[in-house]
Amino acid sequence: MPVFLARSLAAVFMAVIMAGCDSNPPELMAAIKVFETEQETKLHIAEMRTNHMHLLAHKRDETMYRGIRTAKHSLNACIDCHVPMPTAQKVVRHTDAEHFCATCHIEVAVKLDCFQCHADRPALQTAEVAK
Amino acid sequence: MSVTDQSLSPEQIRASRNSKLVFTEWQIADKAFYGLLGVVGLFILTAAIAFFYVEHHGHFVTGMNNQVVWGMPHVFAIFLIVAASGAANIGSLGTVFNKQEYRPLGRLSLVMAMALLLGGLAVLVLDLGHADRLIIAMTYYNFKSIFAWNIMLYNGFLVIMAIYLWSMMDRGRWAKKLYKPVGYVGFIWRFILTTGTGSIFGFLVARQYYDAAILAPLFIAASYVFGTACFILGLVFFYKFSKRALSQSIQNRLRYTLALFIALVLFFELVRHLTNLYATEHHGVETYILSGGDKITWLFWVGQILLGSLLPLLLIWLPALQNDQRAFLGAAALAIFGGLCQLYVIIIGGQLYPVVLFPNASTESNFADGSIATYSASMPELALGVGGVALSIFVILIAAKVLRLLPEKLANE
Amino acid sequence: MSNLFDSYRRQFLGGLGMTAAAVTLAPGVILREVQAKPDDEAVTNKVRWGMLIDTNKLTDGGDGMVAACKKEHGWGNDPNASPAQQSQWVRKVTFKDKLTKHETSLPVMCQHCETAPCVDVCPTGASFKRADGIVLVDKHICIGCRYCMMACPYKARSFVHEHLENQQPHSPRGIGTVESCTLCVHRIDMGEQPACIEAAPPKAAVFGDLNDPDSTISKAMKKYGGQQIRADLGLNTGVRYWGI
Repeated sequence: MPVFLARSLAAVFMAVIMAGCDSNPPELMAAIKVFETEQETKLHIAEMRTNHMHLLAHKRDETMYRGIRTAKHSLNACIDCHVPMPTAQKVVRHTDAEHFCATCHIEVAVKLDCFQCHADRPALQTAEVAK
Repeated sequence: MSVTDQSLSPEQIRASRNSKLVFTEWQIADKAFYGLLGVVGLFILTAAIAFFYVEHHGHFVTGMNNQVVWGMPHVFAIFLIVAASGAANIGSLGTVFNKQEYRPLGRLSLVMAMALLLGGLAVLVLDLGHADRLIIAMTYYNFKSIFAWNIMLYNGFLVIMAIYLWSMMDRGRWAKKLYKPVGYVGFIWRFILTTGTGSIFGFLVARQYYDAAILAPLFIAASYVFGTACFILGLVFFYKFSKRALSQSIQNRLRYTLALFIALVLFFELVRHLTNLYATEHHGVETYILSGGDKITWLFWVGQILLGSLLPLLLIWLPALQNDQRAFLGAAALAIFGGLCQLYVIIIGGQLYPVVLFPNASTESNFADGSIATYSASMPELALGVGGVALSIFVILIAAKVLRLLPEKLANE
Repeated sequence: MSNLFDSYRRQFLGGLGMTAAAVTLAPGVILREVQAKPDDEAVTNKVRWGMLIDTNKLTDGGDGMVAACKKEHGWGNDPNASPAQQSQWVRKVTFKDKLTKHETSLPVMCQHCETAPCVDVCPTGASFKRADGIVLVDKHICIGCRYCMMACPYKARSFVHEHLENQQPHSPRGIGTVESCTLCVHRIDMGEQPACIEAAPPKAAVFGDLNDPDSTISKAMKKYGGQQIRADLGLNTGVRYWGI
């Protein structure tokens, strides 16, 4: 109930402050995975744009307390697909505007503290395997 | 405002009527007032800078580490919180114990209590690793944690003291009705609050110097010392500054209250150390504190015992200094100094001594096992701690200026 | 007399060796013992994970285990922290009995107590015990008060004193929060063993389910016991030792 209330309040609040804004999100860097149909891609984008914070927060508790480690909605899985592998020339950090998360979060001025603890790029091993 | 409590004797009622208690705001020239606020504000500003500095860089810029996890900020924070409970004692003496002489001082007592608690909490909160997550501390509770209980006790204290203060100051029917009950609730709440604060250490099985139930009564007794001493300094300051008359009898009462509780703290300390000295498992830590030779030993013997306890007792009870206000103020200031030393010894000293993993063996590792750790407070830590004190003073100054806290003159002149 | 004593001693040590041999000489058995649960299934209290370390077989006193932990989780080299401010998920402790002068080295980490003092004192509940007995810090709700560090009798917890970069994806650690040994929970959930166990000298350390009477660790402990550090505190630790 409090969660519902808080969310509704947040939604109203966001609606009010976003009223004057256009809804054209900035261009994001391409993901590695490609969905089979255009439909799936659109659904994924729509769902994530509105709900990624709730999905991540829910998944975070599932993993933390119950040890559920499926790839779906796992932050690491998002990062592995959306942030390029680090290479010798370039590592994309969460502080760079081109970083998948940073691009939008800078645009809407919402501070992220996920990356105080979490890795902001795919594991180095993953990168090596991909090579 | 005349006192018409039915539990008073006719003489008392007459006495209070004759005295015509008139409470007024603190009359002070604007220049002096804002000058004072400015000076105190500078310390608060320094603390704010210190906070942002540590927040920005992380705690590596402080002297605290993984062995001494609580440092100078906690000494100040716990001092202020404990003192808050003691400062409200003057109010309780008037309400709960019906001591007429103390009643006119109740308002200042409660305001000081709230201000001290605010200062202490600010320091405690600003030293968190994630001060930005205060909302989590308020929304996630682990009810087995004495720390979580303390969060509620501290917030509750502020609310109760605010209602209590209102019941003292308002002339309405409800305020009069609530005055006694709220006074009692506040009195009991204070006991629980200080017990809770003492139990932060009392409930720790891990460290040799803690884990003792006697820490709770020790903290209660200490709260009376700290609180009374702070109150004395505040009271005399306001009366001197506004050239009001402060009767000798009230000063003597406060003087003996202070002495009594200093003696009580000494008694609890004696019992605590004797108990520890009796048990072989605590010999190590007692030897370290009492005769280890580093600054903790000096702080204990010279700071806490000699300057902070025995000298104030001497200043209070020496017949030659009977009515000497400077001796009185000196005793209060020394008691505060002694209190800070005492908390430093308990908080820092208790952590400097290594955790005992293998009781019958000498232990070593790359991480301070079996050896005394070191700690020295960094500037930001000191600034934050002092800033807490400054914040308390800031609040008290403003409250005295805008609220009618102080009687024009005290009864029984 | 001394011969008799000697033969007892040999028998005892032989017994230890045999159990340990049974434990470690058949790695296949062990790997199957720590079964991977399906990813989407929650952990249960039917299992209680634990560890048994034989200090007599730790030829390096635990150095290898410490190094493996550092590598797995990436602690110990935070650029700005002083030595006393560096994290210490596991450390090698050497103790020498005052009377016998017998010296023993062992790795000390979070002991994953059944009744953990850190869990009791945490004001927000960030310090918690998972159903399968692993004591963890939920850094999402850790406010960095460090009370758990005051409460831990093993000094097993560390506070991160600075901003970190390049953390391991499987082991998040960050500024202003408290951390400690996770028993390599990310590996356990995948059916692997903790990194330190794999790095320990042969026969020196076993990992397994303390609730399963047929697990190697349970059988070894049933036969020869498993000592706790500070057993007097009655915390029923999940990490046990031989030879302390």
